[in-house]
Amino acid sequence: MDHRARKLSELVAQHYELLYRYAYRLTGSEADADDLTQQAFLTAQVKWDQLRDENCARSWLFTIVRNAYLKQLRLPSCLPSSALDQVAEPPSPDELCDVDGEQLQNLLNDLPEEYRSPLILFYFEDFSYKEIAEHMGVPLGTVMSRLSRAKAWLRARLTTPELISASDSKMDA
Amino acid sequence: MNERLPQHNRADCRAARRVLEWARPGETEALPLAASNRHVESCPDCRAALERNRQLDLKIGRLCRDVPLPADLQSRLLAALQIPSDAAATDRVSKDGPMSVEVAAASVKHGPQNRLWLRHSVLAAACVFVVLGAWFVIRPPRPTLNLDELTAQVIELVDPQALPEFAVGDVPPPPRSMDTRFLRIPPKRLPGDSAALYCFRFKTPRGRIIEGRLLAVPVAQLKNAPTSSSFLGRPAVYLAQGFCSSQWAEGGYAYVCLLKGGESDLNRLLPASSVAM
Repeated sequence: MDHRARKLSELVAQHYELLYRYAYRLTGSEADADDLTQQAFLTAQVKWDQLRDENCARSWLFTIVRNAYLKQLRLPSCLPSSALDQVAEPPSPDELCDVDGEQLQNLLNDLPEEYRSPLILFYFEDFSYKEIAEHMGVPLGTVMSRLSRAKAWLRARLTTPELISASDSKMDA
Repeated sequence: MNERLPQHNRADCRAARRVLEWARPGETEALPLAASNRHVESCPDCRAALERNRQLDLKIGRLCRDVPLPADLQSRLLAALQIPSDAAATDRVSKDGPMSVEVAAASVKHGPQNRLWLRHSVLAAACVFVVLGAWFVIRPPRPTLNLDELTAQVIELVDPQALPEFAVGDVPPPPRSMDTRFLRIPPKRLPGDSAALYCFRFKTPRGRIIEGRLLAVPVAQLKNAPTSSSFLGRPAVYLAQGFCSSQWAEGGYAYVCLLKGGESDLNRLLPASSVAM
């Protein structure tokens, strides 16, 4: 195995899990996440020479996944960004509703991608605000603003059972 | 909110909560944490709200990260990349964490692939050495002679006849564009050079004796070969000690015909125009 192949296999071993989880939360589909993850590593293999600093490999891979996802994206997000402004403080009770991963995914799917991506990366707890901003290609302030709005919106949905069920059909307002 | 603590207005609460929401380990440098913390310490509502959000975030984070991985994902990825899934590097990374650059370099250095690369390099270097050696042996000689300097030497020769004769090697043939009936064959050899020197002598119709020399040098050894391709193809040139000359290249040799006299005497050496002695 040559040097590049060895490095690639290291890259796969180190990042494939998080990359797949990101791709899954981005797309909401196992098959799409599978494809995106594979596509990311294949692209990395082809464009290996573009990677100047191996410390940036993770963020490079995540950017490849996001770009590939955006390229495939055909339908606009169901939820316009303005809908995030209509979020109130989460009501009592403060306990998280009995939500499973699928319902969380449905809510994430309703978020526009520019809010969904930073939110996923934030909850993965592996990315700093700066890294998220670089990944999204936007200023730090923009990322923090989007995160605030998306988190508030998600919390409100997850703590209000009516909103969870309503989200399936009413996010195109 | 804040009805029980009238000293806090909603703007303070919003600002403090926003700041503390953003605060994450290692990312608090630019945030006014001290003022926000002071506010929260004295505001039970904000404390409760922040704690509630923290708990919510923990739960959402756990849910978000809880994505079951396909069992064979890693091996499928490696297969797509055409990397053997049982590669040592992969095992080392997955069991012991990322392999350091030094360890990776050392593995490459002592691996069989590297030995193969070394063998190929040695073989390639040997091939280059052989090719260069062969070229050195068979390469054409570099031009080293200056025709003008040779001509000057020939002019200085008091008696060209005293030169040794050509003993070995190729003798430059007489030129075709000049009347060579008067050349003395074989030619002489100039000391230290591969140039040949013919001497000639003839009598003009009025009985004047003309003596001259014909220098012949392989063009490949000349740094300044003549541009003319035949005897007197260019006007004659007058040189020192009353010599007149014509330079030309013909059949791979450069020739310089010298005689004491003028261009009219040189003209007598055009084919079939002179009287032999």
